[in-house]
Amino acid sequence: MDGTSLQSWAVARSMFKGCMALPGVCKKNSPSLEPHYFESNLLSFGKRQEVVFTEENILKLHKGGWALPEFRFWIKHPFSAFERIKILREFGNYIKVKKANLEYLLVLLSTCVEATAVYMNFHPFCVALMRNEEGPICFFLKKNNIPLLILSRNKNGFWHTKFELPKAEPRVKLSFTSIKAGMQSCLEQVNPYEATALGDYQVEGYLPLMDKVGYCSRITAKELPLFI
Amino acid sequence: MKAHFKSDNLFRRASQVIPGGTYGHVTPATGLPRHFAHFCSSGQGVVFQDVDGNEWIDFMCAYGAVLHGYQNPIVEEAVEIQRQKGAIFNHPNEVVVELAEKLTQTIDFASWSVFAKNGSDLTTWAIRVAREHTRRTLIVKALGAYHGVDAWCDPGLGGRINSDRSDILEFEWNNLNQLEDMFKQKKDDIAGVILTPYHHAAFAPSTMPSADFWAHVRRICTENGTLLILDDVRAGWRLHEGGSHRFFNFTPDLSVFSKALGNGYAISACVGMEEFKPAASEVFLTGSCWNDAVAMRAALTSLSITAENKVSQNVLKKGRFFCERLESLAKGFNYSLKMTGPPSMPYPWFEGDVNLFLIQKFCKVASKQGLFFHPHHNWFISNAHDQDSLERSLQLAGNAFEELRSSGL
Repeated sequence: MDGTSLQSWAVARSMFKGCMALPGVCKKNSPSLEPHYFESNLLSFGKRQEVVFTEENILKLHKGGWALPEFRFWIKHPFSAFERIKILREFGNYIKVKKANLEYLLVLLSTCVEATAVYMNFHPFCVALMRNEEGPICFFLKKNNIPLLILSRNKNGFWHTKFELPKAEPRVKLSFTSIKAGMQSCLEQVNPYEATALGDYQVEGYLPLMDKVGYCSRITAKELPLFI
Repeated sequence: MKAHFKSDNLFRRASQVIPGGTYGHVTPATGLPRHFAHFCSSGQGVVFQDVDGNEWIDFMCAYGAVLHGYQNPIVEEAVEIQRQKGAIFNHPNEVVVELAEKLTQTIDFASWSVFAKNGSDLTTWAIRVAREHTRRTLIVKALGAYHGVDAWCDPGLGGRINSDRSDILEFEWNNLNQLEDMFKQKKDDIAGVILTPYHHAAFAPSTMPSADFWAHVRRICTENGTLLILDDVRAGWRLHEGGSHRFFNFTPDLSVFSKALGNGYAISACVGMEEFKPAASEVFLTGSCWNDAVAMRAALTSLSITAENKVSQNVLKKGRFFCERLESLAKGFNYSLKMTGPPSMPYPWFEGDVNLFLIQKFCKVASKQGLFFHPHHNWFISNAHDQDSLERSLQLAGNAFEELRSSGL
């Protein structure tokens, strides 16, 4: 995967996971926005190829610019394309608001961690770093027993985020002491060593794994900063 | 949880002017950041105080650097005399010769010594001596072994380039077949094998060498004209007064020491066989403050105390007592705790606790009792640990187990 493909795939996956975490969207019977590659350079949100973007346009969206889906695809299924575009727009608007509440943290966390997961799957340095590692890594808020998000490998060995409780015992638990601390962490506004030392978040379990994930997340954030 | 108001404030100040606040092995992130202090203020014997005035019974000994206890009066007196004369000059002080002579008398195979400040200074230099002597490139090390902060071996993730480790081969500790295979494939390219006396990786139980490990490694190195370098930086003087190779009954070609050598004063040493002296003199080595007469005086004094008081045997004996009692205490609370590695530097391991949640919780509750038990690194016994301090620590550890049990873990 070249640099453009990696970045656009990470953006598409993180938009998909961010959308899934949107209040309401995950609960109602919303159309799937899971991205799929098809042809060269084209990404579809959903299997039926209604909403299709070029890689370049996905990266434009990431930077907050305007980008239209490819006309020849959405015109075939305008209604379902519209449904998907509406959710994507909702996500785009929601993430810019920066509300300090649990729902927002969940959207932000899902978006950021899924991008990191993509880098752990395809960025050569991250792949090498994570080669022998297994999850799951669970993200919590305060002392809540139910994780906000889980980062683990799927049955095909790819890292991904999910909301369901893991069957396996977590290898690492990362708990944010507040919503603000969680948001700052996602937005790379805190140094992880300082945040840990001063208790903005607590990491328990197999720390070397979290070190690696943290390093991959910083590589991701450097290449794909959140423009919000 | 102990008070850490000053510690936190100091850390906030540090974060403004030091990347990450503090770094390396003392970064709070690798320990228990909300339970351990971030800064110390003083120490005496086996007790140290943090900046908030909390008192701790120590089982880390400045990560091994302190063997005779903090502020050992004999070491401090010798150091003070030297300090009044000066530490660093345009030329080395005569103490460098005294120290080199002392080391060559203490280490049975050594006929020369060189000195630096940090273990890494000399593990890296030693592999270059191996390369100079053999005119070969490759270095073999054990997977997960720590040999210092340099790019060929550091455990960090940043600043790496592919070529950093392109001349480093790794084998699994105790896997002699793997080592043999490496030599079958690359024997004409392997300059040196660098190993610690036993495998003391962080975040994992320590592994002692198998019965035939060292004899086998020694034979492979000799047969292939490869130098065997012993990284005795961490274990040095805690296993044997004459170097850890004596504990395991083998002879390396070069040995590197640091940590306990100066009882807290920064010094490292590499000693070697006569045969490698010419190569050693070809590989450049220097540092403006490396001929530090104060640190060298501390090392000389520390070596004398170690020899006169059989300190290595003492710390092994004290450690054995402590480890056996701690294991038995744990058993009484239905925990299967194994103190792995040699008893003078044990690594605590709860059976089945692969993700380390239980050891972390135990060390947290132990910290409330004033015990500095590290959850991820081997502990260290010093000769300042006496029967009273060990008994007291075991009593406090009992309280910690009780709290652990009542927490339901």
